[in-house]
Amino acid sequence: MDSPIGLTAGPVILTVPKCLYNFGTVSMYLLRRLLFMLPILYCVSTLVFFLIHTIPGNPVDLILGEQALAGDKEILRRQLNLDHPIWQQQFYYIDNLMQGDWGQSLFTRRPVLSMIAERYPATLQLASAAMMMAFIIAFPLGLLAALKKNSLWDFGSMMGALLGISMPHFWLGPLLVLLFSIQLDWFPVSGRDLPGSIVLPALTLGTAMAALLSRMLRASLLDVLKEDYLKSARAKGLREGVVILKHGVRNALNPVVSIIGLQIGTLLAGAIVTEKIFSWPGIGLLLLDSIYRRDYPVVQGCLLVVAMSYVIVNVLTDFIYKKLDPRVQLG
Amino acid sequence: MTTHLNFRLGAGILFLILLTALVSFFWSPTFLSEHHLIDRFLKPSLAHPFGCDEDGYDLLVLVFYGARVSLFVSLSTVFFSAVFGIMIGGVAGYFGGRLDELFIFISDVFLSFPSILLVIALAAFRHEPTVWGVIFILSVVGWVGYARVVRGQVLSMKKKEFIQSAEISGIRFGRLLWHHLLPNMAGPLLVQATFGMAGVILVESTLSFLGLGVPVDVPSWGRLLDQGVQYLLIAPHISVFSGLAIMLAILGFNLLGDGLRDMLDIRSGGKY
Repeated sequence: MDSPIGLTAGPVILTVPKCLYNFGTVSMYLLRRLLFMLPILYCVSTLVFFLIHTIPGNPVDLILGEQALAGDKEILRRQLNLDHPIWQQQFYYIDNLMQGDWGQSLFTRRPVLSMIAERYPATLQLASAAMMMAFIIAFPLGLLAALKKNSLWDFGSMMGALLGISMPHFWLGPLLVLLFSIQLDWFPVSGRDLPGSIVLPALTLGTAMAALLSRMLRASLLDVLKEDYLKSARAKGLREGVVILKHGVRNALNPVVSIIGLQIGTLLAGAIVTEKIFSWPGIGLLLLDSIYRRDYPVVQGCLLVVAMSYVIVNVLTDFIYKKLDPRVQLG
Repeated sequence: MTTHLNFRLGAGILFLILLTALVSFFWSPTFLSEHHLIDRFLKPSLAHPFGCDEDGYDLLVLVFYGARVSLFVSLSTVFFSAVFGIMIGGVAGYFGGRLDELFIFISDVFLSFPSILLVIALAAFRHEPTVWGVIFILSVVGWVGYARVVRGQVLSMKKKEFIQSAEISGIRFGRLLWHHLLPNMAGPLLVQATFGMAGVILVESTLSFLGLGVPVDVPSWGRLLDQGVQYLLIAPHISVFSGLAIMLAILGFNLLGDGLRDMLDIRSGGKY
């Protein structure tokens, strides 16, 4: 009964060392998830491809303006493959994507992929700093609320969490700037060059996640604290701190990790807003700037990259989840 | 069924916001036509409790008007998303088989990337922004959540006796869905719609904040906040009050949803 495969494959398989079927199930699962990623990525790229055809009127006229020379229009038509039937256009689009040709910016004339590669690290840095910030805030709050259940601490931190969830990034950001940059002059207002410039964007982006995490940690820890294994840990004479941290929190973290995976999508989307507020030169700012100047190939590229990152991160989180809790059966 | 504290708190906040939206019908028309450039960026005072914006409009009037815009957009979006969600989820859950597999695949694709990204993607390629355009985009993305709830409920009810006896009487599917299935899942749908309102208000104001939402001449909360951020140094009150309105509305619907879920004892939304 100790392996999902053992049940179906009969007694013969029980002679195989246990680590091997763990390997088998996990790699099978990985394969399935990766295979499922393919249709999703196909749908995303198809959607992104068709978006350019949802523009009312002719995309060429919209991009170049109606007064443009006929020759220039023809060149752009060729560049966008608009001179082929639509199913062929889509085929070419996805074919080019897979060969690393993501098109060329209509504004800077540079390849889209290299523009994205330039901006991507900044977004990654912002997202990971925000996640760290979220953990730093959520961990003590959730712990305190659960350990001192129904006290003023509990009420205060949970009220704070509710406010944090309801507070949109684009309001928290300006408020933080007003307080910490303008009034106190502790951190720069915007940009990425000065030291400390990441603090406010990361705090803006991380707060909602911190609020959610602390609520989850509290609920999950309250469940764990009732378990019998905590009683036995205490009974064998462990100090209370060790009981709570090693036996309690360690087990309470599992559901929290699975939420982090789901939250990374929200984090990536929130990064778009946060980057606008703080002029943080990441992929979100590139996306918005490109939308404003109708640089559609870049818009398509940014959308694709963000969607792909999200899909990949979700698969990765499942693995971390499995690593943290070996009882989890990957379905 | 006792009324829950969260429910009462949420209902109170929302009642106030509804009131401001209603007041704006009588108040705004005169005030919106009247603005003095000399009042630009005026700080809050007795005459203008919230101060004035970049064109000298009274911010209180604009925030009240914004309540109307936000409530209109979110109610319409929730309505259309719920109608499509009920129809699609009902068909998928009731008929099952290939249809259901197709539905599961499509909704997995929708849920496999953040909805705000899809909304931004759809909004980015629009030519002329309109209020109905925003509602359309939000509904295209929003129906999936309702459809999932309805499908789950239909699946669990399909084998119950009252449904089977209705089937034996030769009822058509539309009537079965409307008269027998729908009344029995009103609770979970109501909770989903309440949280949905909070979500739509957030996404709509995000879109307007990014300049991709309602037209420039419609004073929505998101647009006011965008303006406020541009003039953060000279007129911080613009961003403070418009943001406060957005936060209160979202908080109100979240509290109401929390309270409703506890009162109706619905576990579908998870316990967190």
